[in-house]
Amino acid sequence: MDTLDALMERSFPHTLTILTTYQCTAACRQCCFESSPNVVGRLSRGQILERIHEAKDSFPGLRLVVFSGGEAFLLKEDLYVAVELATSLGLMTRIVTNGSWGKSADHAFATANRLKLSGLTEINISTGADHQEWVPITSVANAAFALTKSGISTLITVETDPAEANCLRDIVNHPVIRDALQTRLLKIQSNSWMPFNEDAQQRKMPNAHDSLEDGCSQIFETVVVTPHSNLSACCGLTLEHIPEMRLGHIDEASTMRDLYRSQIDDFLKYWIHVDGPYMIIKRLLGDDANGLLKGVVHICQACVILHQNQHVREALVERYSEFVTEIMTRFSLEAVRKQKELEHVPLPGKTVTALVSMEVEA
Amino acid sequence: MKRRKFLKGGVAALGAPLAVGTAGRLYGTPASVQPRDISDLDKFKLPLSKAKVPSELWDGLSKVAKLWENVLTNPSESTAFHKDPTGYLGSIGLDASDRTLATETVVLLRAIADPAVKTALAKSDYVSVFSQLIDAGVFTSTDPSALQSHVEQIFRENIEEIQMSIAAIQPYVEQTKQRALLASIDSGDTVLSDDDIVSLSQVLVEHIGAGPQPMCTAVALCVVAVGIAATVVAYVSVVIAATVGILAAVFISAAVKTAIVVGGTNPESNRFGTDAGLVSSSFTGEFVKLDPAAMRNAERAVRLAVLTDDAGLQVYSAKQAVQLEVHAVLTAMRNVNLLPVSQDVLPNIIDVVTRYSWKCLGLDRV
Repeated sequence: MDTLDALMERSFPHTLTILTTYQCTAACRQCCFESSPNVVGRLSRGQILERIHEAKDSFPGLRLVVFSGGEAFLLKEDLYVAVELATSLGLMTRIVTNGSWGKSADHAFATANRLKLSGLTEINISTGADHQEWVPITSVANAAFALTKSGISTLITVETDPAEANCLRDIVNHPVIRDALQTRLLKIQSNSWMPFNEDAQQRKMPNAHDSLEDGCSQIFETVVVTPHSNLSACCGLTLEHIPEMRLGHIDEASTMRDLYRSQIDDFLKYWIHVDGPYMIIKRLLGDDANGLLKGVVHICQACVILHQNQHVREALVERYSEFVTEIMTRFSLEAVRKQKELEHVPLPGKTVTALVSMEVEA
Repeated sequence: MKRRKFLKGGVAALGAPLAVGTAGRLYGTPASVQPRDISDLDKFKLPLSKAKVPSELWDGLSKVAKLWENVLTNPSESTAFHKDPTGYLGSIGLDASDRTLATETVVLLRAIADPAVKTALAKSDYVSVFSQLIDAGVFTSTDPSALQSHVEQIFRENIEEIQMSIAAIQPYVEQTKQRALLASIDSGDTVLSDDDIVSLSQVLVEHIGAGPQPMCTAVALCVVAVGIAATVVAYVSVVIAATVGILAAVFISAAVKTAIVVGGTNPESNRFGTDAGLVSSSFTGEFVKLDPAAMRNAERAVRLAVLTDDAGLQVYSAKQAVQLEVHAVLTAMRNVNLLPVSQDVLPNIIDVVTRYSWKCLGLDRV
């Protein structure tokens, strides 16, 4: 186990995600956290700053701090202060938002300027059919325009469209977004989507099936602080549906480092990292997995099935020992390689020319 | 209206249990809205400490970091690993199943351990390196026409909007920047003759109308060529985002997990500024995402460059990607009459735009 301790110490985690609040300006139908204006509670400024300091001190490989929610901009001034702190510690930063603060162009520019001054590295704006019931496309466009004109790299992530909607094409064809694209600081992508309620609409197409069979890099590479001051092992869509992803409550008795390292003895985490939940179920159940995985369109959907399905859990307990040598070998080989690659990822302040920029999923 | 209604209700219900998600939840109530304490003992785990793990596995895992060093620096270890990776991994207690041999790490380590590749790397003979790695199956031989036909299809489906974008460009460039661009292009290995540039630019001037006539020099017209490409590429990048999303031809976020970065500073990259209608570079390898084989090659080249600490390999790969992209886009532009030039002139345009893009990206300096 000392071997794993040393390996983990050198290699992981790279990313600290702070889910600042579950409150949101929107109340999307299929929100993974069921966020809405009604949900109360958030991390205080002191807690957020303390977690950033603690993570920086505890995890030598840390490179990126992501601020998400809920809607991170509900933190107001505290958000800028947190970004400033992370930047001052030499960390890259990203905010994930729904863009509701772009309602007016003036306010969007004021916000973008403030973000630029705080040193923000990049921002992700989530939109799509569900989001646009609450946040109009004009807000997203104003936000993206102001951000890119202020020199901030921006990614607009659009939910996979339902049959009757064309949000992706509307975004792409929006004249203000077209202008923002001229800065070359804006990217647009269609993101995978998954249902959380029985009344969920069908979406146009699942994303590439191959990605379902990939390992989940979130595990170990990311460490997440939730609004309830818990430490989570991942920032996936179903993290609050899977108790096993919660590593514990952060307090004086349980430091982030201790909680993070508490997963080192859990083989399931390594297996998820290496093979991903979809492939684990397939490898365990063979053809019997087909029914269970039918209609699965997202890796987090497979992960919640992996943890909740009794048949799968029994198979895991019964057979996991036979996979240990292979999985741990693959994990170790890849961890060392990723560590070497990480040493070459640019830090803020370095001028680089990116052919394809690094996009860490949050 | 709907949103206002919700917010009105929300104020009254502040702090109450969440109202959304009234339909049946598929995976239970998330702890985000219903926090609950769960004992560590109640969590489902697969303890490694209770697994039947062969003791030699732990020894093997402790040697993984050293394995890298050995294969990269020790000639005899390197040769042994290259000849028989299965035997090598097994001898130190690690798994050597097909799944392990197929991991990116083993594939790349074996490539680097190849004596012929090592020799070529030592000579910075990247043409040979790439050729051998294609033979070894590490890289895939790419067909330039595949990317070109994909881009061409996108052009054809959006031709009217692209033409409108081109009509709107303002190709005016200050004289000092014209000179800078000329110097930039002229300092390359291949210098286009004035005749080449003029023949190219005459067509372009005719194509975009009277805009650049007052600065009808070879230099200015070369700038115009790059300017048109910039406009088309900027538009097409947008179209690609939609096309990719709608057709799911490539899932960008999944395909771009690895940084492909040309390290080092490049003070020249923005010297022309964006105010001149030019961006730092129109061709940055983005389009390569549309060619999964080329994308995989680019990712692996970056990884190999990191492992061998050979920036030249990375730069060579990046230059190849840009060249592939410029060729695909400009050829497709010509085929759909966005760039009405003869087949004879096209290679010159591709050459000048490729070299210009390399310079913008700092790829010509390594």
